Amino acid sequence: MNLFEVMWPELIVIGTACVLFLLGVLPMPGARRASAALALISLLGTFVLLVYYLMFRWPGDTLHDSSNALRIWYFAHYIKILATGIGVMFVLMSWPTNKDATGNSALDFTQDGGEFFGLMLLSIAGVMLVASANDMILLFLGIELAAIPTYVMVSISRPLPVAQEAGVKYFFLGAMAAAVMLFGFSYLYGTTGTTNLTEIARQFSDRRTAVGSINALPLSTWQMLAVIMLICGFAFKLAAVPLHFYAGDVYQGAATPVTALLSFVPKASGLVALIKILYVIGGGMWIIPAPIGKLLWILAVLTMSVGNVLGLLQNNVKRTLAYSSIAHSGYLLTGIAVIASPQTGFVQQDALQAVLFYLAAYGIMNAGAFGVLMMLPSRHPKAATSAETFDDIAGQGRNHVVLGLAMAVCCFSLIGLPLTVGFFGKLFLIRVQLRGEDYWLVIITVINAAISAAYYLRIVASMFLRATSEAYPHAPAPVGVERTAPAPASFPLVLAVGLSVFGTLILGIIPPLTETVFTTAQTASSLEPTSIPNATQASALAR
Amino acid sequence: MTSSLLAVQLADPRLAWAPVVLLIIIAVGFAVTNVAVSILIGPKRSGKVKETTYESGMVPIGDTRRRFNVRFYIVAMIFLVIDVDIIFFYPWATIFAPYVQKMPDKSGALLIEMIVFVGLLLLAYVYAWGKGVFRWD
Amino acid sequence: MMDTLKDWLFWIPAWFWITLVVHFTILGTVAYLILLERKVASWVQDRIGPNRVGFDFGLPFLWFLKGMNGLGQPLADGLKFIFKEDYRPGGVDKILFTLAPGIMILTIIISIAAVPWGGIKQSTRAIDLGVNDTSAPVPADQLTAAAQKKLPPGEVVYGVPTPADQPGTYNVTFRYSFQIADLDIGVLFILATLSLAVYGVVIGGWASNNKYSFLGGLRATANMISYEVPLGLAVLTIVLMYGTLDLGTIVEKQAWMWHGIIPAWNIFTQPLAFLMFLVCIHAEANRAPFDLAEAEQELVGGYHTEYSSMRFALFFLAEYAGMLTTSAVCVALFFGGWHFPGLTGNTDPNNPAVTSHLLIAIVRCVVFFVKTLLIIFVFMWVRWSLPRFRFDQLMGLAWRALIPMSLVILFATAVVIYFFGHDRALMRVGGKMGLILLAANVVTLIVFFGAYLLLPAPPPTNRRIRIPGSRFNPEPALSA
Repeated sequence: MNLFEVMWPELIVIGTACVLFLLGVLPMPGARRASAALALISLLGTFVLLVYYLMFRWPGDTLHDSSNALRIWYFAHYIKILATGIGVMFVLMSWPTNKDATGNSALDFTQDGGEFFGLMLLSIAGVMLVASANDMILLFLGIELAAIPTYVMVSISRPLPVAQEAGVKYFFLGAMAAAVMLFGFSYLYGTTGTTNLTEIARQFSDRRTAVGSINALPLSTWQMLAVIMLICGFAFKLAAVPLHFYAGDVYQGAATPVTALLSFVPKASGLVALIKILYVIGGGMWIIPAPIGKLLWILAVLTMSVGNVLGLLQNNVKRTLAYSSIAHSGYLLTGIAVIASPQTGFVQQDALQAVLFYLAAYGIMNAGAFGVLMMLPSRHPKAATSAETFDDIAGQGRNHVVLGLAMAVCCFSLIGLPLTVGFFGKLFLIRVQLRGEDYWLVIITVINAAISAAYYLRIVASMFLRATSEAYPHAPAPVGVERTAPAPASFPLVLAVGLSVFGTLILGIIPPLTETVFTTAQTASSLEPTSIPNATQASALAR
Repeated sequence: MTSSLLAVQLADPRLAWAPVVLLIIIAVGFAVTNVAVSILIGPKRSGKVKETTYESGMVPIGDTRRRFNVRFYIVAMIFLVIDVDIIFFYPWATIFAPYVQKMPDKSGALLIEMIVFVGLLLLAYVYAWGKGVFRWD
Repeated sequence: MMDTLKDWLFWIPAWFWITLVVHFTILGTVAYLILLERKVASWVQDRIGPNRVGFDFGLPFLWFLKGMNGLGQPLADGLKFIFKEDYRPGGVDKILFTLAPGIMILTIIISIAAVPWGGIKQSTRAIDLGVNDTSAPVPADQLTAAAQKKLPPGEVVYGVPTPADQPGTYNVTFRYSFQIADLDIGVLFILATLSLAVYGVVIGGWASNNKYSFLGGLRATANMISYEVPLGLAVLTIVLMYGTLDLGTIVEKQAWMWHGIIPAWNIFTQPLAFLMFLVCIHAEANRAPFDLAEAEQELVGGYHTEYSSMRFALFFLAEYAGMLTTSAVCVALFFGGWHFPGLTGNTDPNNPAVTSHLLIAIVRCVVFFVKTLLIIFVFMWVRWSLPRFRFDQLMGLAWRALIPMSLVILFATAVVIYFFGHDRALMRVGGKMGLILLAANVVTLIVFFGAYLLLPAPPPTNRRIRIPGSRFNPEPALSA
């Protein structure tokens, strides 16, 4: 396979993004309306292409280009399918004609419709590049390609000052995180003399062999510093505590579909990059130095606990969901902590499998929650302001029963109740924690799941148990909010929510399907067996 | 033939920069001397009105160092983008003609790579044009 | 005694003398350029111009130096600058205010370093190297340390043992470039240093704490950075043709004749690139018709409104010295540098730049200099003939016309080279290559005119505003 064949999915997505940018500046408004359709077609096409590759054309071997900067194994493929699949949902959710329950336009990009979808595709392409990157430069570029468009998307997603503020905040903090990450990459490059991840992995494994002990610390002080800086950078993308401070404001300020995207795409890029770096250090056997393992453990525990506790205190549903997404980063990080723990055997691979499965489950169920939120009318019925506070959603479950039920499903899944995909996600995670004999982690995770139930149930409870009038005791009902009128069907949004709820339920109710996804994740987690080429090959590759 | 050739001895490449250093010294000396001389022998008179900056004979209104039009920033940003691209052109332009002459089979890839690069640059350019960055009226 | 002195002088490298001579020649020239500017202005406007100041200093016994058609004017100007008060108004940033003219003059002065004035000079000198065995070649790096010290500075080409009367002595032939600094990245060096001059402008405008200065500085900055892009691309076109960044090599490759009659200068192969380069150096020098930065009617003096005395003189000198540098680069890139048919010698067709006669090297310098002065004359001619642009026209010309055009001409050149450049002697194929490039230029121009016809017309922004009571464009009377 030559470079182009390896890169087709990314090329399609990026090429479409370029076309979308040009559509965005065309004077014809029709061109801008076509942009969403174009983005959808391109993502769907890429998704189908990737599935086709996976099922029929896969040679069963690692693919790489001549300079070994891109290496594609099942892992990368899994992430790409996930990114494009969830991306389809995001495109549907941001469809420009979407309306909320009162018939107001749920979105307002003003003049930037074409650019919005172009940026969305670029962001998704960034995750795909991170998945296949085997070179530090490309890895960094991928992470930034996933992140930089989101800064702009936050700002242009709706014409409100709060969105501008969120965009600027996100940009400055993100730039600083990128700088720290780049510092880490540069130290790693300076101490190893190469940017190729395979080559770096070989150097670490050589050092481990030279020391003689398989558990010896293969990192020098500078490299340790580098890895810590990298983890800092990735933790920002993951919104892990203590680098979570931007999350609340940014998620709240952005329009709801952008918030949904923020809670998945940058996270996936950070997580994948983290896995890659750990893989490089661990050299296929996941032999991670103990300090890094401990750091990740603390990070995971802090992220879960702080995210959930702060989630309890919010009055804004979007903010609650922001903290929920922080907490879910924490759950994902517990799997990473198990990977980085000094366990031997196949626990690490199982942990990676559980993490990958959880990522998929989180992507599916989270999109639905935001989609429902988009459809609920806000207190101020103007464009691009969907439901924000708990008062806004009070009683809406009674007015729009289907929406309420959909939200309930998503929330139950986010808690991890049975019959949803979230249950299996948590189940597999806790299982590997148990197999890793990390009982403290198990206890903390379970406690956290219980805490999180409080605020997820609060969302559901507000929707069904509170009366609408109760929320606004002194104010008259806002103009144009005909609570009893049926929600105007806005097909793309309904489709997105439907897909999400359907996926959440079907993967939770029908175990064989869950099993299929889980085995796919297992295949993906069996990272390339011959990842470390022999010395001559590696030195040839290094040139 | 009894001649004995000495092999070519190239001068130290760093030596080529020695005149530049000399010029820098000359230039700094020139500037400092001139200004110093004019300060020394020129008249010196000051006063409250003379102290003010020139504003068509009026008392200056407000401070100069304020915010200015955002277009200047946009020009600077677009310039940065395109100028950085031009920096990438230089190595390419230096090796392209020699490649065409010595390794014609590889020069095609070289040309296509640069055309793709410029295509992306032009895409940004067209986008900026469409967004009205190049309109100053 | 004399011999010792001569020996001692010989070991001072040639670049030292060249640097001094070129630097002071240029400073002198710049002073007289200002006179030339005034003379050209008066010529264009049909007046006489400065013609009073000679070198008599008011002394009666120097009567024969009186008048001189104004040749003493630059000296008088210089003296006046020194005796003026060096004034710094209150509220300025003291350090930056002084630094700005310094940066300006420094960058301009060092930018002249890479201009290849006279090709390559080759000399031969008998040197006692102490090598007695003449049967085998002796590499230079295997000589004894003492002998190596005796080798002349510069590039040693070969040495021939002298006849038997002086055993161990070689006639060493060596070369040196007849320019200040023989940099292999000369083009980049000049572009880099010239673009640093924008710092002088913007710092001067900012430090002055004057609104006119500030606006002038902003305008100049926008102007200079905008025109730097097409300037760089036009230069790249030439760099692409020869595959080198060495200005000396670029000149050397132009030093031959098509069919024995037409000089192979790039003006004939890349006229479009030349035109763009010419426009850009006008803009880079902030000269009319691009002198928005110091438009007298709007901005008093632009970024140097608050400057006086020698600090102002430094800005002034830098402007003219910058013109000189850019014109010299223009000559080197497009007018064959020192090459002039029949005058500058062409002894070795493989190495046209090498000459062994000092006289020829000096003639080359003169040829180069005269060509440069002609370009400068064009500068002045343009200044006194064309009206000033509006700011939006100025920026639009750079961003909407020159940049796409220079990109296209660059890639037209690349494509031509790709298809026709397989011949090792690129550009030496009896003018065939040159003709194709010329055709590519013409086609690019036609394509661009076609494209501009197709583009939607910009909104009318320069329409006349009707003013009540105006004689020229009156407000139409309200009908009852």
